[in-house]
Amino acid sequence: MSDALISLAGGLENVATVYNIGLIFVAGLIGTIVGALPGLGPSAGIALMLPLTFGMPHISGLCLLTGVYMGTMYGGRITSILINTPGDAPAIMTAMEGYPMMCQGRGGLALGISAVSSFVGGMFGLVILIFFAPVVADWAIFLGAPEYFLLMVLGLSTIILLAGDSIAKALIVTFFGVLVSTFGSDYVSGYVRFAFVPELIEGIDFVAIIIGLYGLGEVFHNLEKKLVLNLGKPSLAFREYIPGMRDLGEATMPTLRGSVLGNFIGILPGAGATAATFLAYALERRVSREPKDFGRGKIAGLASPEAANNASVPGALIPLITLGIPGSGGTAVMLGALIMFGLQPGPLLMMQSGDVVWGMIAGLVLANVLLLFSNVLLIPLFINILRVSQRHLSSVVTALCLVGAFSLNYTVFNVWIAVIFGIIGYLMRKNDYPTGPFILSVVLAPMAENYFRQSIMLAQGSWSIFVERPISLTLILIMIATIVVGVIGKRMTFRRLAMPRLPGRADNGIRARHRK
Amino acid sequence: MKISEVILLAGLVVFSLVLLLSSLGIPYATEQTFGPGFVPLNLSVATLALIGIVVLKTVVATVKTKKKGRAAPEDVPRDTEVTTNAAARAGVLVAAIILVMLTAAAMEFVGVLPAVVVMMALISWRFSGHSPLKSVAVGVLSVAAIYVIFEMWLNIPLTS
Repeated sequence: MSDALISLAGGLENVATVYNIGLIFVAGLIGTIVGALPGLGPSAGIALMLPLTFGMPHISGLCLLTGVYMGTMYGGRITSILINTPGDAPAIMTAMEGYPMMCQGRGGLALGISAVSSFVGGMFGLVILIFFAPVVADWAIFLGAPEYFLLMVLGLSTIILLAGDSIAKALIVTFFGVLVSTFGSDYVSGYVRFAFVPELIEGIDFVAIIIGLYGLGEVFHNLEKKLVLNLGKPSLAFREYIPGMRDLGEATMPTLRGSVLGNFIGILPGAGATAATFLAYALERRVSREPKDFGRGKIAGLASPEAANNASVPGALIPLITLGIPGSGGTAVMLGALIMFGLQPGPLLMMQSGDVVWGMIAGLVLANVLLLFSNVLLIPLFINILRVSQRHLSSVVTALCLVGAFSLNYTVFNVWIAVIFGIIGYLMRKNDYPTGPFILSVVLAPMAENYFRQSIMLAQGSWSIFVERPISLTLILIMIATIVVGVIGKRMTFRRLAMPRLPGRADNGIRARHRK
Repeated sequence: MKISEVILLAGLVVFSLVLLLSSLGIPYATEQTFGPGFVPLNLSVATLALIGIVVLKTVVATVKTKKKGRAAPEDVPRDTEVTTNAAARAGVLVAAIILVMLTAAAMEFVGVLPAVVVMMALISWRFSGHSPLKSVAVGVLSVAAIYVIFEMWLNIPLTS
């Protein structure tokens, strides 16, 4: 413990120059803006900034990249909350509760709470990174394909919790998501599936799907209903944006749960922030006394995924630094950056280049603190821009979605994907088909399929490998418990709803007015 | 069952059928493990079965309601004004979708930004009720901002 603190102090000493602190601040802001743009996530943010680090001292270059990385994780939530268009996949869960809060005129509060939760999650992850990185990395290598497969299936089993009123509808969209994820090259055999056009060899870009499903789907819905959000007049009253003690109290436990879960999932290579946020949201819904209020602007459902999202960043850095295994797209680009700086991520990195690594970790701590302040201070700007432009939102959001989809790999093909999923998103929303299980299966199904087939290959065709290993057996039991508890919970809710309702029950609280 | 749900489920049926037929030609299993056809074949069958169950349940519920002497929601005589409004709203939606699709198609020929400017102006004018001049101004200014951020700052080629 004391060794880690001494090393961190050494890292802080290296980083704490005016140049580096200024660099981290600017990098955080750039990352926030890039993360907020539909279609651009951490990987794109880091990749775009990489050329700027040529010629910089190693520590400064890494500070710039990690600042952008943390910034994109903060930025993803902004467009999720303000216009229901997640900047990247982990921000989908933020939109689930953040956008209804925005529609209720509590968008500033949603941004404030999500900024604080992101900060706490990030700090928690950094503490784990600082003190427990080697221990956790040693433990993580004991997980093999069967355990990873069951972790993915455990994630998929949470569709029961995200299902809404009809499990059949949730299953239809889940299977649809799995089918969508099967397009393109198969990782195990190399076989190319369903490449009806050459662009499909790489599969369907997940970000184009979420841009369409949430961004364009929302626009189509609003245009049909002629909805105009009632966001109020521009105001600079900070009271509106800073969460009060009551709101923070409501967010405390979900933030802590999200931090622990997000960090744990982040450590597992391949699982990533997206799975972490879905599981954090599902967990909150599970433990909540008012699960029916989720999807209507529940603070717990906003705080927990945000904390999980930011806690997963330091978590994903643990296997990268200690084992040389990138746990996510963002860390894969970071791996390239470390190699570019002449460093070799792996067990010897901490010994051979400890000063640079601890400098990078100290930079992450500083970035997290600076990002909290900059994000809270920027909330009035974001909210007021939206208030000024609220009557033009449909055209602006559509333009951002199309440009964002195009920028994924500079082809119109992804624009078509976004448009198709925009129509599907609208139809799903209109007919109460939940989008959560669909997205969850698109994300997790390819990994689950690969790990499943690898496991069967390892066991030479036998299924017993899933019950012979203690960790995988434990995961099976947890999964069964999740499904059983989820189904029982749903039945109890249906029974409760079947009973006569008390008068005065609030609706979903979304304030919107219809134009004639 | 609403028309929009019928469209959604019909689309899913076609999608699943196409994948089902295509996956028949993909190896289902290898000597050591399941092949790349395992998941799509089984899941497309499962999707079709589930859609069948949902449709069947809806049909049975409708028949039961009719037998009880109550009109099914679809058969309830609707107020003329409400029907006209719904048709008008559906018209707006279809027009918006066609406009976005035309924009995507036009991107191939005129480039991303010119297509987006025209689309923004039309959405703003025809669907959001702004004046033509204001709509064009908003379109041009927004696309200018997009150009500065994406093309000039982030070096994402939108114009080439």
